[in-house]
Amino acid sequence: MNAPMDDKQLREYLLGGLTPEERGQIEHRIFEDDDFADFLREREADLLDGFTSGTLNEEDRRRFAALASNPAWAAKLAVSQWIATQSAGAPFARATRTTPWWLGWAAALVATVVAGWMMEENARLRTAKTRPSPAPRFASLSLVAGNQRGGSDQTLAISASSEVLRVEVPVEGGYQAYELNVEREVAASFTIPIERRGEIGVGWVPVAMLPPGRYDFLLKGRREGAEKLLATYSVRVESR
Amino acid sequence: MKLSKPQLDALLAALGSGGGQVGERYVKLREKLVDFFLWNRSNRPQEDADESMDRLAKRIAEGEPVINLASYAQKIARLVLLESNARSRREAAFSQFSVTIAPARSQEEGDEKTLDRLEPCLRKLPADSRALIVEYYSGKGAALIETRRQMAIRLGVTANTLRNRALRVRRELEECIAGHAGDVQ
Repeated sequence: MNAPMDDKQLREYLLGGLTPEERGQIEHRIFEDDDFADFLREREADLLDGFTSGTLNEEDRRRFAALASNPAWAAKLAVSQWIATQSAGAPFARATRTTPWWLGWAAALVATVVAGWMMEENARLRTAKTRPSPAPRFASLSLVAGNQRGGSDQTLAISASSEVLRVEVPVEGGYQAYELNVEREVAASFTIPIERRGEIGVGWVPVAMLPPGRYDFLLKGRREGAEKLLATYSVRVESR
Repeated sequence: MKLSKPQLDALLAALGSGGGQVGERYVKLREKLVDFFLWNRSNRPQEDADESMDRLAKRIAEGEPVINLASYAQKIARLVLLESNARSRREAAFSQFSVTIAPARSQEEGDEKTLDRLEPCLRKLPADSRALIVEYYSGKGAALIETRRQMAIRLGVTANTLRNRALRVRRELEECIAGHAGDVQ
C-alpha cells in the first residue's frame, strides 16, 4: 500500500464529502490498491459501529444517517447492530412487528442529539440510551398537508407507556439534510434530524420531551449551508 | 446485458495478465465496484457493479486497448454511476405522481425482511467466525487496538491478515443478509 491518506480525509470520503477531484483521487487508490481498499472498508466498519452504538458526534451521525437511510445499507446496519448486541453481552432478541429492531439505537441517537437539552429533564432517557433491549414502546405521528400552522391542530394522544414518538412528514427532494424544529408555547424548542426515505422523512422524539400542550413542528431543509422552511404543522399533544 | 463466452474470456484474460489468481482478482474488482457505488450513494450498488463488469468485459472483447485495467474499470464505473443517478432521479420524479403503498409500511417490511435473513445467515456462519468478528469489532480507542493486537498474537497471524479475515467474514455475512450470496463461509 502506498502512503496512507489522511484519516480525516478518508472519513470525509465515506461520509459523502470532499470535492469531486479529491473523491476521484481516493477512488483511483481504491481501484489500484487492494490494501488501501481494505483499509477504507475498515474505516467504514468503524463508522457503522459508531453509528449503531451512538458514539459518533452529532454532525457525523447526521451525515451518516443520511447515507444509511439508503436501503442498500440495511444489511450492513443489521450486522453492525448484531455485533453491538453481542459485544454488550445481550441476546439479539427479535423485536415484535410493532417495535422494529433498530428502534433501540434510533432512540439512542435521538437521545444523543438532544442530550444537552435533556440534561435536567430526566434520567430515564439516559437509561434508554445505553440499553439496547428491550426496545422502548413507541407512538406514531404522521404529519399531513392540511394542518399547517394557523390552521386546525392535529391531535396526538400519547399513552403513558410510550417512550419514543416516531414522526413521519412528507418531504420534497433537493436538500442535503432535513430537520424538524419542535416549538412549544412558552418553552424551549428543540430540533431532531429527519431521515429521508423516498417521499417521506422520519424522525424520533423521546416522549418525555412532549408534555401535553400545543406545538408547532417546523420542517426545514438544508442545502449548501442555507436553511429553508419547507412546512409547518400544528399539533396538540394529549395524554391518554 | 448478458455476457457471451468470448466476452467473459476476454475479461478473465485481462484480469489474469496482472498475475495472481484470476478468480480472486475478479471477486476483488467486483467488490471494489460495489463499494464504489455504495460510497457514491447508488440505490443499487450490486446491480451497478454487475453492469460495470459487463461493460468492461464487452469493451475488452471488442478490442479496446486497455493498458491499466483498474483505471479503466474506474472510468466505466463513473459513467454507470452517472446513468444510475439519472435513472433514480427520473424514478423519484415519476413516483411523485403515482399512487403508492404507504412508504412507512414498506420500510418496516424491509426491516423485517432484513431481520428474517439475519438469523439463517448467522446459523450458517461457523461459530469461530462469529466469535472472530464480535471480538475484532468490539470496543473502541486504545482498548480496541490492544484487543486486535492480542488476537493477532493468539491466532499467529499479522495484523493485516487478521483485518482481512474479519473484513471478509463481515462482508460475507452482509452479502448473505442482502441476498446476494447463498452461503457464508
